Amino acid sequence: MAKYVTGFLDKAKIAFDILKQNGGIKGSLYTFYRTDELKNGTVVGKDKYGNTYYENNRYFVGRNRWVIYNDNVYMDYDGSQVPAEWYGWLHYKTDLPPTVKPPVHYKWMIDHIENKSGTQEAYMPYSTTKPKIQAWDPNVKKE
Amino acid sequence: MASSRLLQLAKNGMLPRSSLNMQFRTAYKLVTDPLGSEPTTNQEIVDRAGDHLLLTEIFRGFGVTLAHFFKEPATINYPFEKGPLSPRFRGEHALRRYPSGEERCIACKLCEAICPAQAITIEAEPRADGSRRTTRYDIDMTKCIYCGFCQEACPVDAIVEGPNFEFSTETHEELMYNKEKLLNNGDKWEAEIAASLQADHLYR
Amino acid sequence: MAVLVGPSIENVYKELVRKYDYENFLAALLLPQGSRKSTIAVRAFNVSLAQVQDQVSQGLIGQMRMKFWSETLEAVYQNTPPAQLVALQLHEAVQCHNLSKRWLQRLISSREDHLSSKAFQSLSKVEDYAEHSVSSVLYLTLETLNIRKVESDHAASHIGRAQGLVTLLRAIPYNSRRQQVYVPLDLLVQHKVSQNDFLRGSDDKKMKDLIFDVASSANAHIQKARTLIPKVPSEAKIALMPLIGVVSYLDQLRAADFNVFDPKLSQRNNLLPWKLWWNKFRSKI
Repeated sequence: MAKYVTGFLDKAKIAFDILKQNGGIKGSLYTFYRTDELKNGTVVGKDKYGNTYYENNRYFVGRNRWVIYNDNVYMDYDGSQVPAEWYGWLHYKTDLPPTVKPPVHYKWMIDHIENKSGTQEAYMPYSTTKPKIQAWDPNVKKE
Repeated sequence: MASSRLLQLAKNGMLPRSSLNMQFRTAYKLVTDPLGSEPTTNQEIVDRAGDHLLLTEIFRGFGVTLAHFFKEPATINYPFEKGPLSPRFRGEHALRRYPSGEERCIACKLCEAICPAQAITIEAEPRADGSRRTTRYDIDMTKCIYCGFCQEACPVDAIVEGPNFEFSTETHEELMYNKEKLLNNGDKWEAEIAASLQADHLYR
Repeated sequence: MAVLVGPSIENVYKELVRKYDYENFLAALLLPQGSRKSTIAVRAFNVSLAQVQDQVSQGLIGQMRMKFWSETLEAVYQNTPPAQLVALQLHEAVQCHNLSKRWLQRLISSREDHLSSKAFQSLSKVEDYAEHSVSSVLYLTLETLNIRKVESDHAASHIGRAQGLVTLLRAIPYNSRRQQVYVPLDLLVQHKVSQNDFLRGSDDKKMKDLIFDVASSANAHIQKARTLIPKVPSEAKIALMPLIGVVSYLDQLRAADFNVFDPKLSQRNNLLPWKLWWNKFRSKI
């Protein structure tokens, strides 16, 4: 019997912690609406685009590291918003987050851009060479 | 007959496990009521009637459903959680630079030659400082089969298949990558591409 | 967040050697100024060639890359190197010290032959491969010091062979993890060891005997080199410093009772820089 009582108390504690971390009833409802899930974990770091990275090994591998995207994007979150520095850690390629092992930095490296497909800024292909043939222009007078 | 005696013992559960491992296809043990059996005693009749009237099976089914509602899901919640990726994963292509910012590619065209899908197109001419560089480096990402031969063939580690796989587009033309786009990819992903393992010795 | 700034353009090729050929990099650091830069350039060239086999999945791609390097070498000797860092540094080294093309070509050809025939038939084949791929670098190091003597080349040849054999031993755990065995076939037959024993990482008597055989032939080359060293010019000794790393590996192997899979053997030897410096200080190998 005691087993069931302590088991229930553990679950209640976890539920309470999750509610607390997500900002009470209202905050939890908001997080649940945005991410379809309520979890608690330690904050591993925050990138410069405002995404926060969490870890909790109570969940199984695949669910124990996650990202909560910047609040400003609201429901327009996308997998491609994770920058290169955090990519390896979030995908379990390394156990060292960039807060522990700083990534290389060169001055020519550019800011991370999300996948812009379907927007005005989407990449459109263009030729990087001069055209090899010129069309004949009938208006040009022969000299 | 010895075998029928064995069968008898097996039916009564009097044989040790090891001897039951012998192939007796005919040996079985009923664990449920025989199908179509009628309740015999009054007690059984009342019990069955009660089960049917109070819909106990329906509620037990609801109980199972409810239990699954509280269970931890076996799926991951993409894009918040992401699955494990191999360090050798071959994703979106990128053209790398030297730490000074100079591009690595020297237009040797080995990648163009090895590409089994013929997705790569290169044009090259010498630059003002005399070094040979590409003017056109196009990859048709819809032809590419992500075999990784281009990065294997590259003697200067210029073309690599980076870790990114989230580059799906709405139109076909957005996947016709040109040199500018590939270099931008390199500049964007260098932090992840450069993070590789360190080996101390040459093993050759 | 702190950012780590990577190597500058001149240091990229040094970084290549430091990362993938640490012990020889340390030995190269002891050389005098002009020779050091050229030796590291040659070593970077060697590293680029040696990595090819592990980076490609098909022989054809490896051959293509070797073709690229042999064309690059031609271009280097015609003073038109491609704008590739290692090629540019190699060009500078060739200009500075008038390095022989023959040794550089041998580096390429030995690796190229090794691409197509993976397993060595006998220990002498391994030694030939080592003489081509490792000793050539030592000959070139001697050339950067402007020493072209038969005695020093002879000593370098034996040191190269010893180093090649030690590389073979050192690569066994690494290659076993990748499901590959490069130990010569005649030794496998002689000691009745199967390739599976290597893949399993076994350390029984037969395996130790085999390792002991390879190690003792490496040791024989070292002893031979030691007898030749008094005859070489004193300036040349500094070029033969990689011998210290070889000897210290063999000592460690003996301490591990000829078990190549001992994890201690794959760790970096932190005493080695001091050992090398102390030997340079005493001008002794």
